[in-house]
Amino acid sequence: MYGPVIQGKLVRLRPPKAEDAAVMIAWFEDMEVTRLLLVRNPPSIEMENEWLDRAARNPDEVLWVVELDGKAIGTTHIHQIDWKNGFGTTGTVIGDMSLWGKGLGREVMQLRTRYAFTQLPLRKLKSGYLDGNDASARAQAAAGYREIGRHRADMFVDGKWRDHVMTEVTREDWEKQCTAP
Amino acid sequence: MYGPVIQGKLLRLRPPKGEDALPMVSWFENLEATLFLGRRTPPSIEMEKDWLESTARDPNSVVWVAEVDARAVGTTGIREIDWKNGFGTTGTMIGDRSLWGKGIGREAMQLRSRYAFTQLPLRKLKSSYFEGNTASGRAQAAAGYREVGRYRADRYVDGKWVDEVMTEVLREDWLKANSV
Repeated sequence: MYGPVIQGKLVRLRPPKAEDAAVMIAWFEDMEVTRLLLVRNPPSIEMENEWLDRAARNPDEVLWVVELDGKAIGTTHIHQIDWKNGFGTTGTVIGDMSLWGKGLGREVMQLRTRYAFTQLPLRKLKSGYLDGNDASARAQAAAGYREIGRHRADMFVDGKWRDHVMTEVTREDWEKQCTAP
Repeated sequence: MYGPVIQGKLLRLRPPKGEDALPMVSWFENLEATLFLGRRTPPSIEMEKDWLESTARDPNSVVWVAEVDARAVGTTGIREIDWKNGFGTTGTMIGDRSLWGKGIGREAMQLRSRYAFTQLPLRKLKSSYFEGNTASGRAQAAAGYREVGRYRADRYVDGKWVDEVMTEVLREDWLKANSV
């Protein structure tokens, strides 16, 4: 499924369009952009078009493009949704590096979390980040995620093995955070 | 898989695009350009496009186009990656002969070795060249490869049988000569 439009203060989440594919594959050409991502190789344009189309038809996924000033700058999604047990796995890419460090990822995660707990009957969201990705760690914490464990020395990046830090946010934690003074 | 952009001093490695198929086909039209290559006949444009697309989807290969002054001049890659045992087989083609002898192949191999040992957890890269291809022999040596054996009189090229010289570079050898 594609996600509906959600307007934030900084960014706008909107459903993907076919013309986003060309912009999206360029993000994965840059090893600095992908340094702490799980996908580190650029897809072909055909693969990206197929991925967008598969996501649109997948009932267990919600995918948005992140837009700033009318320009596609990233994607975010909830995927592998297990409707029976009420959880999904989330992920975000901000492909335009000039926009890193401005709190965009944090707002994306906050908007997505609100959607998951107010528009979907999910109980929890699972995510993770590679050790050293402080921006993602801070953004996830701000959106209510907390560390629940680590796969040690899990991914090989820039000449060394890094931990994969596993995180999750439960509906009750999120509700407490929202009603906190 | 396609490889990400890697900027060198002489050239730039970048992921292939659909429009690269046309120049790539033309490289194989010339018997001199393919003198020391495994493939010596030109594919059709459709075959080349199919190859680019199947490569993009192959999780056991990483392929780049080599670009000089924003022009595609060759390809390089790591193929048949055996993730369990941690090795892959490398190959390079500089299709534009006006650029031979300028150290471009050497830099392509050096950038590729660095990628293989810092971005992938590979233990070794295997390669080879045909006897008489001194440019490839020198470039591979500069990128850390050393000869490990020879298939004697293996390929028929320009009226005679030539050896295929097998080479490899180990992570530990590469680490001794390079800093991460």
